Amino acid sequence: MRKSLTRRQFLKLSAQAAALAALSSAPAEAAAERLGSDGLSWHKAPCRFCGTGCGSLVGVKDGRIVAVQGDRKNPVNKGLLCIKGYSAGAALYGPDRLTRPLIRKNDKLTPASWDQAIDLIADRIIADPERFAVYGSGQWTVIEGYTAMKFLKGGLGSNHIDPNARLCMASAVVGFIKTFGVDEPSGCYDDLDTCDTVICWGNNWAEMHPILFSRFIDRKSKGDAVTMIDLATRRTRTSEAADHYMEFVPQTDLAIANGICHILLKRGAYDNAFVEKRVRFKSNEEKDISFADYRRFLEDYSPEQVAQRSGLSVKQLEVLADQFADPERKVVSLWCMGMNQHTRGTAINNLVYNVHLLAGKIGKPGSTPLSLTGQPSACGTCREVGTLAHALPGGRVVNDPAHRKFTEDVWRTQPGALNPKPGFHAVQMFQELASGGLTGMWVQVTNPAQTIPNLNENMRAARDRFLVVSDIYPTVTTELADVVLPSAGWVEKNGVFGNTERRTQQWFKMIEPPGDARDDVWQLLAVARRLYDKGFAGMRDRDGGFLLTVRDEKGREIEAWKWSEFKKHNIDKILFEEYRRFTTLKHKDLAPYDVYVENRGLRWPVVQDAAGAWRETKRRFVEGEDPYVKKDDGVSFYMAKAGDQRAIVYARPYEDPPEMPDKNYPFWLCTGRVIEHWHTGTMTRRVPQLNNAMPRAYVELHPADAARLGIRGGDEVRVASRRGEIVLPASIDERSVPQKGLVFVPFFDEGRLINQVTLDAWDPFSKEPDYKKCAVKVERA
Amino acid sequence: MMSRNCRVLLAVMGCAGLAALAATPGLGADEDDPVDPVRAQRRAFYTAPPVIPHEIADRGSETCLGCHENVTDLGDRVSIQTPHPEFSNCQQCHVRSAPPGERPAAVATNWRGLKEPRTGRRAHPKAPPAIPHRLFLREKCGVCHGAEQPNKNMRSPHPERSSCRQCHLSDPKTQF
Repeated sequence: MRKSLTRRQFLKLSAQAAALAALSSAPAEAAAERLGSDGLSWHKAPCRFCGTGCGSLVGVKDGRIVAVQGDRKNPVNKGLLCIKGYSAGAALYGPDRLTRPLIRKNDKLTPASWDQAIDLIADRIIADPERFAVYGSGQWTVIEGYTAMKFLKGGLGSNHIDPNARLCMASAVVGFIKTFGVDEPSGCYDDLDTCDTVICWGNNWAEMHPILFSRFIDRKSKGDAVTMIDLATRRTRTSEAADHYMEFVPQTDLAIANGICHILLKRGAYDNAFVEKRVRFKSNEEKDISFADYRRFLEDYSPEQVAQRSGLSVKQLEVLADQFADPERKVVSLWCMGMNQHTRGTAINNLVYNVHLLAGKIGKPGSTPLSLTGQPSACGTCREVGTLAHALPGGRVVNDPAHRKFTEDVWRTQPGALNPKPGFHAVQMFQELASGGLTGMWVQVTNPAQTIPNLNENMRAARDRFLVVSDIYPTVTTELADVVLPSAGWVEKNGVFGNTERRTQQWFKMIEPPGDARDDVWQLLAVARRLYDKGFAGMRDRDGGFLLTVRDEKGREIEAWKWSEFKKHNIDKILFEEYRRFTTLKHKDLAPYDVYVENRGLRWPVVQDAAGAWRETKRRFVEGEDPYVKKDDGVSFYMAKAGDQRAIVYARPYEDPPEMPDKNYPFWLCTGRVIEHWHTGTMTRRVPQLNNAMPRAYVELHPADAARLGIRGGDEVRVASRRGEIVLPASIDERSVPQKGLVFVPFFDEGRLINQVTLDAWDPFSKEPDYKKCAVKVERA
Repeated sequence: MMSRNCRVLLAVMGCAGLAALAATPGLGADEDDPVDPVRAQRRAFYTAPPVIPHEIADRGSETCLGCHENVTDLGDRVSIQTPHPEFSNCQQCHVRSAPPGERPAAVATNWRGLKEPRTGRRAHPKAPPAIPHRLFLREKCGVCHGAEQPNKNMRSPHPERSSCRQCHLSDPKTQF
């Protein structure tokens, strides 16, 4: 439990945090770091952009954010931020913030009251509850995701809820579960401080995870002998800082990973003791096989064969293998969208674990396969709460009767209320929306009309369905909506995020949202209550009360569906304590809410020690660090499905992607991001510094391809696939340079929607689509 | 010395792309009487990393320190020394003010960033002012407050003294 404040301390803090206290949903002891006579106060909050989870200090004056700094006390970033982090405050001050609900009337979005909007949504849900879906986000706070789950799975008895994180890290999730029996990275950022080598598997972390990149690269400028290998399909800022740039043909990462294992086994340079104790082998079909069978499988991945397929040289493959072959060398593998947005995404995740497992480079300080996440709470919300079509909170699944029973008991639904059949996953959800399998959808904290692949096909009927969109700004998705709900953003509400390294971080509301904008949690509670008031059976708990009732510490019901009441309480804290009951099944234990108030986040499992202190876990599966590893077990994969503490090495072959360049569409298209912009740019493009630095999307070409096609830098170029086409200016020899035969387009620009061109084929296990590979033709426009 | 200072100012004022920045709300244009208009134009708020006012190699940060590790006389302009050369990924915080040869349309914003204080707080009228910003990333006082600083509001009246922190204390309000 948190240490209690003396009355004197409390009064002092209360006075200091007067501005916060006035917001009422933040308790006074939320504590401004400092409050000077000029009325400026500083408050902690994790950054709301990428999955790194940097701590920021937000400067508030007269009810407005006026500055953002890196939080030196936060061990993630130690005081640094990237330019997006510094801009997180300014991102809330676009003059076109949504400030009141809008309802479409005569094909025009027209201002309406909250009451009218809530009533309309409730009526439309009642009309067709089974075909109503919720599409959420890795930017949902933990409690937003949890409330949405309870609303949809508990209240509507439907499983059609999935997050945009499906498009982002689903392959990593399935990869982890298949190899280790449980999701999420076991290592942590500290490993970047002590490793000898970092291998970037298709990961431009200089732009996408800049704080982690500099955490590592600054070691170099301080004289540490560290090596960075950039395995990539295009030359980026990461490549410029790398010791080795290795350019591979798209999709051949599968062959390269197998090729490294081939070399390690041929040389006998693997960790035999570790393999014998902690590894078992399975075929691609997931049948048990022997080590000898696995060796035979690798026969097809000799350096010469892999070199021929991948475009790497034999020497480069040897350099990769050398990192793993040296038992003294500490190696971190990093990846993000390059491996996850892949029709063989689960397979390549498994194959990178193979390399680390054979080399015994896991569970040791400085050695770990570290899957990075793109969104601030993809881990905390989507993976841990489990806002996925097949999942229930805390690693549970809908098709397990015991998991359903536990969830029904915590939520106090009527027995059997939960639906055992998984719902539609993200891309499928939009396909169903197009074909009529779904008739309504509520979108929160994301912008699918810009991000779903193959937009022309998958969004074609969205306008004809009942679409509710909660957002802070107008987007291409709100343009399609029947109801637009104005939301509170970032520090305009209380929140909890969970980052890449299992760190859960909490913040308090610091400023009021503009106009009549309101929290997404409140929006869900208000619609749920309206359904209850209208007699919708699913919103009744097993005693006939309101399913989403929130109670204060004394057990008294809070009328949280009323905005005036919601604002008086910290609903996040109350629901967090409820959610926490789900977290022990997979040993992802979270501490009580108040513990997170006191610190800069803790990495789970967070378990109370004998003295009653809550202890975080730096490295999972490691004796002495992870309280769930038994004495003398060393590194133990204790969540292994077979109960044998072993991780699984899979014999996953290279396979061609579903679409490859051909005579008519001779180029690969790869899509991605730039440092200045977050996702679809709805926030960052409203920040002058960021928009000035990167005002529009472009298409990158290799100079030789451009010369052959007669394209010069700045020329308008048409990029066309079998699904759609767009026109963009050419970028030649600028920030990044793709390999010959590949073009790259960032997706942040709503004026140039590259997802009209991309392919919606997905990985069969993770259902994550491949935004990194499809075939296009390119010509001067 | 004056001529060099003038050159710095001229170089700064004449820089392409700045015109667009000056017209951007939130970058100082709507501030009343900023301490240093050029500094304010380049920063979203006091203590924010300044944008880069010149064209850059967009490929990475390897070449930045070539000019910015020290004050470098480039003929037509003089580079500004970084107070934190130990951080090597410059473009993680400092972004260009525009792509080469472009003038992006101004973005509307209601953002009003923290203003630069005229001076640090003093214990009494004759006391040396406390340091009004935190020292992290800014530990080399002379970089901004030395004799080279063209803005007299920021320049120390006694740049020959090098043990700044014997008199100027950290302001507890800004040290966290």
